[in-house]
Amino acid sequence: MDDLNRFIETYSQEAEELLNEIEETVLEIEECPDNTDAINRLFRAFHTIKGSGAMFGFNEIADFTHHVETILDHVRNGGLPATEELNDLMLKAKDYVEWILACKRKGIPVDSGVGQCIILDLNKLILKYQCYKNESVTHAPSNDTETQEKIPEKTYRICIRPDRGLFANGTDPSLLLDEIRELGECSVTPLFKDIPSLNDLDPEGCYLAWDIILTTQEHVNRIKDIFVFVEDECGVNIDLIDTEDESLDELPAKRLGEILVDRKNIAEDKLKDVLGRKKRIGEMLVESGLTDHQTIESALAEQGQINDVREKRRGERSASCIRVASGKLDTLVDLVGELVTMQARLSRISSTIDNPDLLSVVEEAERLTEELRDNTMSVRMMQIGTTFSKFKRLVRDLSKELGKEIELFTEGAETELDKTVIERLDDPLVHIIRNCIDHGIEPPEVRVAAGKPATGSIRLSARHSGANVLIEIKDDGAGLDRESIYVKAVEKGLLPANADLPDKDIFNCIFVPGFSMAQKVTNISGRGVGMDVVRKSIDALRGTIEIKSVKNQGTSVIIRLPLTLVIIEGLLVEIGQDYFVLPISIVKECVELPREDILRNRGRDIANIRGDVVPYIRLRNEFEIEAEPPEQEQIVVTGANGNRAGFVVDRVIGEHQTVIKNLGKVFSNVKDISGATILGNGKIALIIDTQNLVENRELLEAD
Amino acid sequence: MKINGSLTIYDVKGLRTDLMDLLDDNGTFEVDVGDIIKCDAAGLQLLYSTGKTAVDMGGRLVVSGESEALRQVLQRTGVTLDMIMHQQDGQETKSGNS
Repeated sequence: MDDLNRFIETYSQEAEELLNEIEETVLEIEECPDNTDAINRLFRAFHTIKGSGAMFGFNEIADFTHHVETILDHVRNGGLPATEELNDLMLKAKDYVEWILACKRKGIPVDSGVGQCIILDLNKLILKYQCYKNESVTHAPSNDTETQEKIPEKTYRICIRPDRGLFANGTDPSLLLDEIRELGECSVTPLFKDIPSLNDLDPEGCYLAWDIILTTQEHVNRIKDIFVFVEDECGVNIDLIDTEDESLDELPAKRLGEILVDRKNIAEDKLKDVLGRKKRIGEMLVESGLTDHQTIESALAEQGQINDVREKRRGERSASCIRVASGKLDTLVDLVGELVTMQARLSRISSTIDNPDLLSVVEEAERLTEELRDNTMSVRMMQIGTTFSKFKRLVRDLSKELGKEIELFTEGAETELDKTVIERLDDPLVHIIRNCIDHGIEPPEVRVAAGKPATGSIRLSARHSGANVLIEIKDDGAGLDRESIYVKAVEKGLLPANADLPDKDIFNCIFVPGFSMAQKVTNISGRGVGMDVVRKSIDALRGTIEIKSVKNQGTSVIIRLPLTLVIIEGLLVEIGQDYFVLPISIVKECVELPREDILRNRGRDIANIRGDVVPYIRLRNEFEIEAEPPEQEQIVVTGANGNRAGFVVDRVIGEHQTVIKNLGKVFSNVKDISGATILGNGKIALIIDTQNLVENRELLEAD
Repeated sequence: MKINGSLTIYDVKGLRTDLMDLLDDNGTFEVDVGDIIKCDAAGLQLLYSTGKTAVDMGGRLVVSGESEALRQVLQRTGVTLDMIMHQQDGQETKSGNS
């Protein structure tokens, strides 16, 4: 049973990747319907899903994708055009396969009704195309008989040399042979010479090999497709050895040895034997006056080169990627975190013991630890492009539904972010893009009337900015209606009436729960739940969100996120005997807070910093620390989302690379602390959730 | 020795051990395949290896019984029982366009 689950898991993972590729490719084809490369890629992706589906017992998927493959074959052979109708069906097919996978994973029986509908539509498309083709054939002038001429047959030599691991991988080579047989007349020659006796046999390793001679009318790509999903575990060589077609020009001339083998003048292994001793065959051939030394050398060099290049490529392919469960990565990151902490302690202790030998070793260890930390972090980094490509589909479907013309442009898809951040970024981005499509971009006629191009654009870009990543979603739509938002905000008591407020303050109102500007609630957006959820999700990622908008020119939403959630740059501060960490990304400045200032404010928690009024929170009071405050306290001024707030501490110690540890379940309801970290001296410092602290204080004061 | 039920990638490991135990003495012995209901290329490979071992030891392998599952795999992979028993390399077997 475990094995079965493992198979389902492996297959699902692979299929998911392929499905993503399918979606991207369909959208690519939609942009450029003549892109044969993309059409071939699409075909191969479905073919692989079908092939491995059959292998792992996903018969529903195999049967269904077989139909999809059939129609794609028509497209590939240049007949059926890649119309919008077809692209729609391809996307539906992709969704359906995804759904079957989800059902399988949950153990729910699959209802094949949807699939049948898609197949029906696909068949209609083929039928339509065939009618059209027949019509054009009957209308064609009668002398155009060439199109109806029999497609020439070609004969291929297919050498299958599986790697040892083929069986273990779940592949049954007889299935491959069956597929080849379907293509035409063929003779299959099994080769046993590598099978050892029982003593040396690894019964689960594959020692079998086959030589196949196939005569077919199909294109060589059809043969190659059969091996698509075993290409890493199986050497396959396909040579055209005979053709009815006279124009052999495009083929490389046969080498003498091959001709001899083809004519059965000498046996293939004999030839190989002689080729191995290249001197002798060279001499032989030169003696018989057929060729010269140089030609032989060159031919051998060419062969060697091609083999080397292929070998290298194969090696690169298999080494370029491995799949690792994310749980393992998390453990690794955790361990490295511990190591970094231990290293800090070690460095500290060694600095008190004045021993040059020890110091140099510790320094070296410190360097290695840092490198290890950076490398481990980079393993968790993923390109944001995978997320971006999902939105292409979203924009395509929604704009169609709403009768709008919208194009999505993406920039910086190669920007890397922590895996967790990327995963949790999905929903907020979907919300924002839905808003852009529904409220931002106007219908084509309105746009044209306003002097804009009928097709609206949404720009999704990502770029690095220090230890942060900036993600911007920018549309060229109607922009936010500043006045209406202001009126509504005053109505709801969020902003004072008749005040001259900056755009930022007004736009920030749309992040308030229940605040919706939509005149009508559509099924896409407008219920007033969304932007506040977006804000919450971004906060949870320790990020900030900002809106800029110009009426009739468009809106841009800028999200600023930390690169990783595991390590943050923190500011270490001390209160009494306790240590705390504030995320440095939000710290604006640190200033001294003289005692007389506190007195002057008569206990009101407001500091005057260079003429600016900054409300502050005394962490000493907040966390009920009883130690006596020092003469000179310090205030850390933070600013996030446009709100300035100060935190009063005893002493600012300095920057600290903070490896975040969760507080654990017991403290899960502690609101103002987002985690903890272990300092070099072994003490624990709590990481303050400043955002939460400020909000809670505001709530308290409001009451 | 009689192989029951299944001769596939899932069984070959165990069967190899069983076969090796039997091969100890003179190398000639009989495998009854009549009861095989599932068979794949890995199974055929094991049979071939058994035949090779037998021949190497101066004996031979005799395959007896008839099994539809085995016949199908033989046909699909282009292998014949003769090849397995007499240890020849492949001969061309025609299979038409079906």
